Amino acid sequence: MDDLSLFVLDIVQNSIAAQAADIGVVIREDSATDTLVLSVIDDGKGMDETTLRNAVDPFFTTKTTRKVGLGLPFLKMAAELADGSFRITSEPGIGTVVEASFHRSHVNTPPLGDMAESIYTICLHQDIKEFRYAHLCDGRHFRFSLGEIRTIMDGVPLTAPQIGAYLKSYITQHITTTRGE
Amino acid sequence: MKSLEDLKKLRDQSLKNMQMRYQVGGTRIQVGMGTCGIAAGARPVLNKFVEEINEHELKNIVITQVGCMGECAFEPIVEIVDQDGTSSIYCKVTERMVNEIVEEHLVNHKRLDRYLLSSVKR
Repeated sequence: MDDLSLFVLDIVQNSIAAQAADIGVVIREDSATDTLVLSVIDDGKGMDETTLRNAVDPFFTTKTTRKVGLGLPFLKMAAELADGSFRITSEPGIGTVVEASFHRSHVNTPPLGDMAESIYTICLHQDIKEFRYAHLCDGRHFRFSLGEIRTIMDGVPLTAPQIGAYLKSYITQHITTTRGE
Repeated sequence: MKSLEDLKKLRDQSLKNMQMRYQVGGTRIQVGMGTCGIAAGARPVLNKFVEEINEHELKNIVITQVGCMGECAFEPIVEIVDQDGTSSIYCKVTERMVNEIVEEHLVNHKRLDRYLLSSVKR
Protein backbone atom coordinates (compact mmCIF):
# COMPACT_ATOMS: atom_id res chain seq x y z
CA MET A 1 0.00 0.00 0.00
CA ASP A 2 1.48 3.31 -1.08
CA ASP A 3 -0.58 5.75 0.92
CA LEU A 4 -3.16 6.19 3.68
CA SER A 5 -6.08 6.54 1.28
CA LEU A 6 -5.49 2.98 0.04
CA PHE A 7 -5.38 1.71 3.63
CA VAL A 8 -8.69 3.45 4.27
CA LEU A 9 -10.27 1.83 1.22
CA ASP A 10 -8.93 -1.57 2.24
CA ILE A 11 -10.00 -1.44 5.89
CA VAL A 12 -13.45 -0.16 4.91
CA GLN A 13 -13.85 -3.18 2.60
CA ASN A 14 -13.48 -5.29 5.76
CA SER A 15 -16.36 -3.35 7.33
CA ILE A 16 -18.48 -3.91 4.24
CA ALA A 17 -17.63 -7.62 4.29
CA ALA A 18 -18.79 -7.60 7.93
CA GLN A 19 -22.18 -6.30 6.72
CA ALA A 20 -21.76 -2.90 8.31
CA ALA A 21 -24.47 -0.39 7.42
CA ASP A 22 -22.80 2.60 9.05
CA ILE A 23 -19.09 3.17 8.64
CA GLY A 24 -17.01 6.05 9.89
CA VAL A 25 -13.47 7.08 9.05
CA VAL A 26 -11.72 9.72 11.12
CA ILE A 27 -8.31 11.19 10.46
CA ARG A 28 -6.96 13.35 13.24
CA GLU A 29 -3.78 15.30 12.65
CA ASP A 30 -2.11 17.40 15.28
CA SER A 31 1.00 19.50 14.78
CA ALA A 32 1.62 20.05 18.50
CA THR A 33 1.94 16.33 19.22
CA ASP A 34 3.18 15.53 15.69
CA THR A 35 0.67 12.73 15.33
CA LEU A 36 -1.73 11.41 12.73
CA VAL A 37 -4.39 8.99 13.89
CA LEU A 38 -6.56 7.01 11.50
CA SER A 39 -9.70 5.36 12.86
CA VAL A 40 -12.24 3.17 11.09
CA ILE A 41 -15.41 2.52 13.07
CA ASP A 42 -18.19 0.23 11.90
CA ASP A 43 -21.41 -1.36 13.11
CA GLY A 44 -20.70 -4.66 11.36
CA LYS A 45 -21.06 -8.11 12.85
CA GLY A 46 -17.86 -7.78 14.88
CA MET A 47 -15.45 -10.49 15.93
CA ASP A 48 -15.21 -12.84 18.86
CA GLU A 49 -12.05 -12.92 20.97
CA THR A 50 -10.33 -15.69 19.03
CA THR A 51 -10.95 -14.12 15.63
CA LEU A 52 -9.87 -10.74 16.97
CA ARG A 53 -6.62 -12.19 18.29
CA ASN A 54 -5.94 -13.71 14.89
CA ALA A 55 -6.98 -10.65 12.89
CA VAL A 56 -3.48 -9.20 12.61
CA ASP A 57 -1.90 -12.56 11.78
CA PRO A 58 -1.18 -12.52 8.02
CA PHE A 59 -1.77 -16.25 7.82
CA PHE A 60 -5.25 -15.97 9.20
CA THR A 61 -8.30 -15.07 7.15
CA THR A 62 -12.01 -15.79 7.18
CA LYS A 63 -11.94 -15.74 3.38
CA THR A 64 -12.30 -19.00 1.54
CA THR A 65 -10.65 -17.90 -1.70
CA ARG A 66 -7.12 -17.81 -0.32
CA LYS A 67 -5.06 -18.65 2.73
CA VAL A 68 -3.68 -15.23 3.68
CA GLY A 69 -5.20 -11.99 4.92
CA LEU A 70 -2.86 -9.03 4.63
CA GLY A 71 -5.06 -5.97 5.08
CA LEU A 72 -4.81 -5.43 8.84
CA PRO A 73 -1.21 -6.74 9.13
CA PHE A 74 -0.16 -4.21 6.45
CA LEU A 75 -1.68 -1.32 8.37
CA LYS A 76 -0.19 -2.50 11.67
CA MET A 77 3.22 -2.77 10.05
CA ALA A 78 2.96 0.68 8.46
CA ALA A 79 2.03 2.28 11.79
CA GLU A 80 4.79 0.53 13.69
CA LEU A 81 7.38 1.44 11.05
CA ALA A 82 6.39 5.08 11.56
CA ASP A 83 6.93 5.02 15.30
CA GLY A 84 3.19 4.67 15.85
CA SER A 85 0.83 2.06 17.17
CA PHE A 86 -2.06 -0.12 16.11
CA ARG A 87 -5.18 -1.11 18.00
CA ILE A 88 -8.24 -3.11 17.13
CA THR A 89 -11.26 -3.64 19.32
CA SER A 90 -14.40 -5.51 18.42
CA GLU A 91 -17.56 -6.89 19.88
CA PRO A 92 -19.80 -9.46 18.19
CA GLY A 93 -23.05 -7.87 17.11
CA ILE A 94 -21.82 -4.35 17.90
CA GLY A 95 -18.99 -3.58 15.51
CA THR A 96 -15.27 -3.03 15.15
CA VAL A 97 -12.87 -0.14 15.68
CA VAL A 98 -9.49 -0.10 13.98
CA GLU A 99 -7.06 2.59 14.99
CA ALA A 100 -3.59 3.26 13.63
CA SER A 101 -1.46 6.13 14.82
CA PHE A 102 1.59 7.55 13.11
CA HIS A 103 4.40 9.86 14.12
CA ARG A 104 3.40 12.44 11.52
CA SER A 105 6.81 13.78 10.49
CA HIS A 106 8.40 10.33 10.55
CA VAL A 107 9.99 9.47 7.23
CA ASN A 108 8.01 6.21 7.10
CA THR A 109 4.59 7.79 7.59
CA PRO A 110 2.74 7.22 4.32
CA PRO A 111 1.39 10.29 2.50
CA LEU A 112 -2.36 10.86 2.57
CA GLY A 113 -2.76 9.97 -1.10
CA ASP A 114 -5.93 10.49 -3.11
CA MET A 115 -8.41 10.32 -0.25
CA ALA A 116 -11.18 11.75 -2.43
CA GLU A 117 -10.97 8.82 -4.82
CA SER A 118 -11.10 6.35 -1.92
CA ILE A 119 -14.13 8.12 -0.41
CA TYR A 120 -15.91 8.19 -3.77
CA THR A 121 -15.10 4.52 -4.38
CA ILE A 122 -16.51 3.59 -0.97
CA CYS A 123 -19.66 5.63 -1.69
CA LEU A 124 -20.35 3.51 -4.79
CA HIS A 125 -21.20 0.55 -2.55
CA GLN A 126 -24.96 0.29 -2.62
CA ASP A 127 -25.23 -1.88 0.49
CA ILE A 128 -23.96 0.69 2.97
CA LYS A 129 -26.50 3.03 4.48
CA GLU A 130 -24.12 5.62 5.78
CA PHE A 131 -20.47 6.41 5.35
CA ARG A 132 -18.97 9.30 7.21
CA TYR A 133 -15.55 10.81 6.83
CA ALA A 134 -14.10 13.37 9.19
CA HIS A 135 -10.73 15.01 8.83
CA LEU A 136 -9.47 17.07 11.74
CA CYS A 137 -6.28 19.08 11.73
CA ASP A 138 -5.14 21.70 14.25
CA GLY A 139 -8.64 22.92 15.04
CA ARG A 140 -9.90 22.85 11.45
CA HIS A 141 -12.20 20.11 10.23
CA PHE A 142 -14.01 18.67 7.23
CA ARG A 143 -16.99 16.37 7.50
CA PHE A 144 -18.53 14.30 4.75
CA SER A 145 -21.66 12.15 4.89
CA LEU A 146 -22.85 9.79 2.17
CA GLY A 147 -26.39 10.03 3.55
CA GLU A 148 -26.38 13.77 3.05
CA ILE A 149 -25.06 13.35 -0.50
CA ARG A 150 -27.72 10.77 -1.31
CA THR A 151 -30.44 13.09 -0.02
CA ILE A 152 -29.18 15.77 -2.35
CA MET A 153 -28.92 13.29 -5.25
CA ASP A 154 -32.52 12.15 -4.63
CA GLY A 155 -32.22 8.75 -6.28
CA VAL A 156 -29.75 9.66 -8.99
CA PRO A 157 -26.77 7.28 -8.80
CA LEU A 158 -23.35 8.65 -7.89
CA THR A 159 -21.99 7.10 -11.08
CA ALA A 160 -24.02 9.53 -13.20
CA PRO A 161 -21.98 11.76 -15.52
CA GLN A 162 -19.93 14.49 -13.84
CA ILE A 163 -21.02 13.57 -10.33
CA GLY A 164 -17.82 11.65 -9.58
CA ALA A 165 -15.53 14.37 -10.86
CA TYR A 166 -17.40 17.04 -8.92
CA LEU A 167 -17.50 15.08 -5.66
CA LYS A 168 -13.82 14.18 -5.87
CA SER A 169 -12.71 17.74 -6.45
CA TYR A 170 -15.05 18.97 -3.68
CA ILE A 171 -13.54 16.51 -1.20
CA THR A 172 -9.95 17.17 -2.26
CA GLN A 173 -10.45 20.90 -1.92
CA HIS A 174 -11.86 20.63 1.58
CA ILE A 175 -9.23 18.19 2.79
CA THR A 176 -6.45 20.39 1.42
CA THR A 177 -7.88 23.43 3.21
CA THR A 178 -8.35 21.46 6.41
CA ARG A 179 -4.74 20.35 6.33
CA GLY A 180 -3.66 23.97 5.90
CA GLU A 181 -1.91 23.25 2.62
CA MET B 1 -52.70 -6.75 11.93
CA LYS B 2 -50.98 -4.83 9.21
CA SER B 3 -48.43 -2.29 10.30
CA LEU B 4 -46.19 0.30 8.79
CA GLU B 5 -43.30 -2.03 9.50
CA ASP B 6 -44.77 -4.56 7.07
CA LEU B 7 -45.37 -1.83 4.57
CA LYS B 8 -41.72 -0.89 4.83
CA LYS B 9 -40.71 -4.50 4.31
CA LEU B 10 -42.91 -4.71 1.21
CA ARG B 11 -41.44 -1.53 -0.11
CA ASP B 12 -37.89 -2.81 0.50
CA GLN B 13 -38.80 -6.10 -1.14
CA SER B 14 -40.06 -4.46 -4.29
CA LEU B 15 -37.01 -2.22 -4.35
CA LYS B 16 -34.76 -5.25 -4.08
CA ASN B 17 -36.64 -7.00 -6.89
CA MET B 18 -36.31 -3.95 -9.04
CA GLN B 19 -32.58 -3.83 -8.46
CA MET B 20 -32.21 -7.53 -9.19
CA ARG B 21 -34.19 -7.29 -12.37
CA TYR B 22 -32.05 -4.38 -13.39
CA GLN B 23 -28.90 -6.38 -12.76
CA VAL B 24 -30.17 -9.49 -14.54
CA GLY B 25 -31.13 -7.44 -17.57
CA GLY B 26 -27.88 -5.53 -17.78
CA THR B 27 -24.15 -6.00 -17.89
CA ARG B 28 -22.34 -6.43 -14.60
CA ILE B 29 -18.77 -5.28 -14.07
CA GLN B 30 -17.16 -6.69 -10.96
CA VAL B 31 -13.89 -5.18 -9.80
CA GLY B 32 -11.81 -7.09 -7.27
CA MET B 33 -11.32 -4.79 -4.28
CA GLY B 34 -9.54 -7.05 -1.85
CA THR B 35 -6.21 -6.01 -0.34
CA CYS B 36 -4.47 -7.57 -3.33
CA GLY B 37 -6.66 -5.73 -5.84
CA ILE B 38 -6.27 -2.37 -4.10
CA ALA B 39 -2.49 -2.76 -3.80
CA ALA B 40 -2.29 -3.65 -7.49
CA GLY B 41 -4.26 -0.57 -8.60
CA ALA B 42 -7.93 -1.57 -8.65
CA ARG B 43 -9.15 1.82 -7.41
CA PRO B 44 -8.07 3.89 -10.44
CA VAL B 45 -9.24 1.06 -12.71
CA LEU B 46 -12.74 1.16 -11.21
CA ASN B 47 -12.85 4.95 -11.44
CA LYS B 48 -11.73 4.76 -15.07
CA PHE B 49 -14.60 2.37 -15.83
CA VAL B 50 -17.09 4.84 -14.36
CA GLU B 51 -15.62 7.66 -16.48
CA GLU B 52 -15.44 5.65 -19.70
CA ILE B 53 -18.97 4.30 -19.37
CA ASN B 54 -20.22 7.85 -18.97
CA GLU B 55 -18.14 9.05 -21.88
CA HIS B 56 -19.60 6.39 -24.16
CA GLU B 57 -23.05 7.00 -22.69
CA LEU B 58 -23.54 3.29 -22.04
CA LYS B 59 -26.74 2.31 -20.28
CA ASN B 60 -27.77 -0.56 -18.05
CA ILE B 61 -24.33 -1.35 -16.69
CA VAL B 62 -23.78 -1.99 -13.02
CA ILE B 63 -20.32 -1.70 -11.48
CA THR B 64 -19.82 -3.59 -8.26
CA GLN B 65 -16.87 -4.14 -5.97
CA VAL B 66 -16.11 -7.65 -4.88
CA GLY B 67 -13.51 -9.20 -2.60
CA CYS B 68 -10.47 -11.25 -3.48
CA MET B 69 -11.19 -13.86 -6.15
CA GLY B 70 -8.23 -16.03 -5.19
CA GLU B 71 -5.91 -15.04 -8.04
CA CYS B 72 -4.03 -12.26 -6.26
CA ALA B 73 -1.02 -12.43 -8.59
CA PHE B 74 -3.23 -11.42 -11.51
CA GLU B 75 -4.86 -8.38 -9.93
CA PRO B 76 -6.38 -5.99 -10.76
CA ILE B 77 -9.06 -8.41 -11.92
CA VAL B 78 -12.25 -7.27 -13.59
CA GLU B 79 -15.05 -9.68 -14.38
CA ILE B 80 -17.60 -8.67 -16.98
CA VAL B 81 -20.85 -10.60 -16.92
CA ASP B 82 -22.78 -9.91 -20.09
CA GLN B 83 -26.54 -9.77 -20.43
CA ASP B 84 -26.67 -13.44 -21.48
CA GLY B 85 -24.66 -14.48 -18.42
CA THR B 86 -21.33 -14.97 -20.23
CA SER B 87 -18.44 -14.18 -17.94
CA SER B 88 -15.11 -12.74 -19.06
CA ILE B 89 -12.38 -12.37 -16.48
CA TYR B 90 -9.83 -9.74 -17.41
CA CYS B 91 -6.61 -9.70 -15.42
CA LYS B 92 -3.71 -7.34 -14.74
CA VAL B 93 -5.99 -4.54 -15.87
CA THR B 94 -4.49 -1.08 -16.27
CA GLU B 95 -6.23 2.25 -16.85
CA ARG B 96 -5.13 2.12 -20.48
CA MET B 97 -6.66 -1.31 -20.92
CA VAL B 98 -9.97 0.02 -19.56
CA ASN B 99 -10.28 2.22 -22.68
CA GLU B 100 -9.89 -0.78 -24.90
CA ILE B 101 -12.14 -3.05 -22.85
CA VAL B 102 -14.93 -0.47 -22.86
CA GLU B 103 -14.64 0.17 -26.59
CA GLU B 104 -14.23 -3.42 -27.71
CA HIS B 105 -16.15 -5.45 -25.14
CA LEU B 106 -18.88 -3.10 -24.01
CA VAL B 107 -19.45 -1.05 -27.18
CA ASN B 108 -18.58 -3.51 -29.97
CA HIS B 109 -19.39 -6.67 -27.96
CA LYS B 110 -16.08 -8.24 -28.89
CA ARG B 111 -14.23 -10.02 -26.14
CA LEU B 112 -10.53 -9.14 -25.79
CA ASP B 113 -9.17 -12.66 -25.53
CA ARG B 114 -5.55 -11.67 -24.96
CA TYR B 115 -6.38 -9.94 -21.67
CA LEU B 116 -8.42 -12.81 -20.25
CA LEU B 117 -7.17 -14.59 -17.14
CA SER B 118 -7.51 -17.90 -18.99
CA SER B 119 -5.13 -16.63 -21.71
CA VAL B 120 -2.61 -14.92 -19.43
CA LYS B 121 -2.46 -17.64 -16.79
CA ARG B 122 -0.53 -20.62 -18.11
